[in-house]
Amino acid sequence: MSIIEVESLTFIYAQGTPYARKALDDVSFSVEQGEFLGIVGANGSGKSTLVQHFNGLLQPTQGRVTVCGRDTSIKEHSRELWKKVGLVFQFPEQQMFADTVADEVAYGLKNLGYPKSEINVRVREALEQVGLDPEEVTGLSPLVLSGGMRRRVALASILVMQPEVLVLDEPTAGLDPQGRDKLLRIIKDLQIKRNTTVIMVSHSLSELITLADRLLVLADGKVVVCDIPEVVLDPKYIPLFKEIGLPEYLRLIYELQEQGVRFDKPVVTFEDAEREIEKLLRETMR
Amino acid sequence: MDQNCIELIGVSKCYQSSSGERWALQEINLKIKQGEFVGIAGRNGSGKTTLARLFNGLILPTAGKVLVNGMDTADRRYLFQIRSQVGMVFQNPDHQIVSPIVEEDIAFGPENLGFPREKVKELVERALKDLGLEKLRNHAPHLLSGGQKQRVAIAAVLAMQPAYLVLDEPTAMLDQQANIQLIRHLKRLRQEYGMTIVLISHHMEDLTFVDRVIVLDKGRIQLDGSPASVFQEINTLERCGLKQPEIVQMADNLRKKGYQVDPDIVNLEQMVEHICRLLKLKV
Repeated sequence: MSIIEVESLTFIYAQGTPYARKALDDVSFSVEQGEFLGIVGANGSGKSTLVQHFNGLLQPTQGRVTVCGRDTSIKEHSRELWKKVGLVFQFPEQQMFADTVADEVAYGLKNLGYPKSEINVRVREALEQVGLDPEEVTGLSPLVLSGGMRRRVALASILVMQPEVLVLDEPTAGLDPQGRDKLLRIIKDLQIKRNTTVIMVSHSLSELITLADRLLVLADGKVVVCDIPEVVLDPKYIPLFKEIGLPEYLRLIYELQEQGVRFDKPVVTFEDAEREIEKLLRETMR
Repeated sequence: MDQNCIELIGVSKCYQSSSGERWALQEINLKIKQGEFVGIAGRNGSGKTTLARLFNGLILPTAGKVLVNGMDTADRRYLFQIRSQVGMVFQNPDHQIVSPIVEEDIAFGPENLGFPREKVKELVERALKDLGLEKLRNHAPHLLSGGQKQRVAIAAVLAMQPAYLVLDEPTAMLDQQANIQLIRHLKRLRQEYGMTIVLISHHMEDLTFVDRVIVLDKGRIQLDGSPASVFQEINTLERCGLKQPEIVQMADNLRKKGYQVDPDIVNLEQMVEHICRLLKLKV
């Protein structure tokens, strides 16, 4: 069952002014319940504009976006949409304001008037989901935590709302390699264990290639391709990815191809690349 | 005493805050010689930025000494000279762009150093050329892309002809294309002017192009050596929150399986070259 339907979505910033700019151009696709969709594109390709449509932050200039069967352009749906769709912005920790981690994570539920006892249970649960020990962190100021931990607190403050769809805009930007891996594992776990639908935006293919079920590639506000990684890595899209950014192992394969080396099997993962390079080396030893 | 280097002797730095004191750096002894291309890696909070800011006296050590070409950064008489010797590029170029026009922004530094008009013009021209910004000279910096802005910031520092160029995570905001270009520019500056470059990054791929990698963690130097040797210390890297670059990882795996892969290979270009050489040998 598809949980999100995007039909011929066009979005124009500042329409009717000399600054009008088409950020999305006739975009159509759907997202299945429980799926992990990765959205990639270069800077300015329309990624962030697109995801802001999922909870009604932006309204289509033309076309339609429905989430859980609700049209996002209908105002009466917005309260419900905010609960169903959790949107994690870029650098979410910059928006933190509460004195303690507990207050920060509880903020959304408090606003919705949940009873204190339930809030406490859900805050603990959300912190555990992001791999933080509630005993240890609830009383601390978010400011004393490391960058990676602060990012996870920000994620917890969205998870506490128990969204059906989790949308993340460049969630790993600025994190060191271990912080990045940890966060990605947490996100993947949410999909697998809780069947949360995950939509994740990144300007790099590297982290999405092994996590996402399908990849949607945007360029100049248009959908170039939306399919499983094996299909998206087709040679005809390579020039586009070179601009967006590729993991080193894929750049290795593509640069060798440019030198005239032929590979007989498609390469998607690091292991595939290693296997193909190994084959080459074996040949040279003969 | 060695005059042509940045030298840290027993440097510690402590930050005071309401929640107590925090030692960002402890007992650092380090010498960066002129002409070196040094990479500094470490996880968030490892002390990288603190270290960078000590290099030109933006902050002073709590204990120990920082000497730039023999001048103590704690001695205010030297501060102007030190700052003109050690140029800094910060993570976010928006934080250091001052003028509404690219070439004026680049002229700002040399003008303030009191260079004559003709000299300023010459320095600006060269910096524009070095960073490939000639066509953007009359543009407004704030309307440029992240990568272009970062190049303007570097050009502005370069125009002051510093002996040392310190870049604090300059690639964090860049996409891959811009990142590759930036590294290329840095390599050229080093080759053409013999400029000393200190590149701070936690993208291990950026550090495969330097001569020397220093890994910081918990405010101390954990590793210091050539990229090839540092990237072999898998356990230490992991303890410091870092990972081997993918190419090194692949080269290691292949070696373990008994294939001959040159141990100096740490980056993509070298790997492509190595494999092509092998394939051509066969023909």
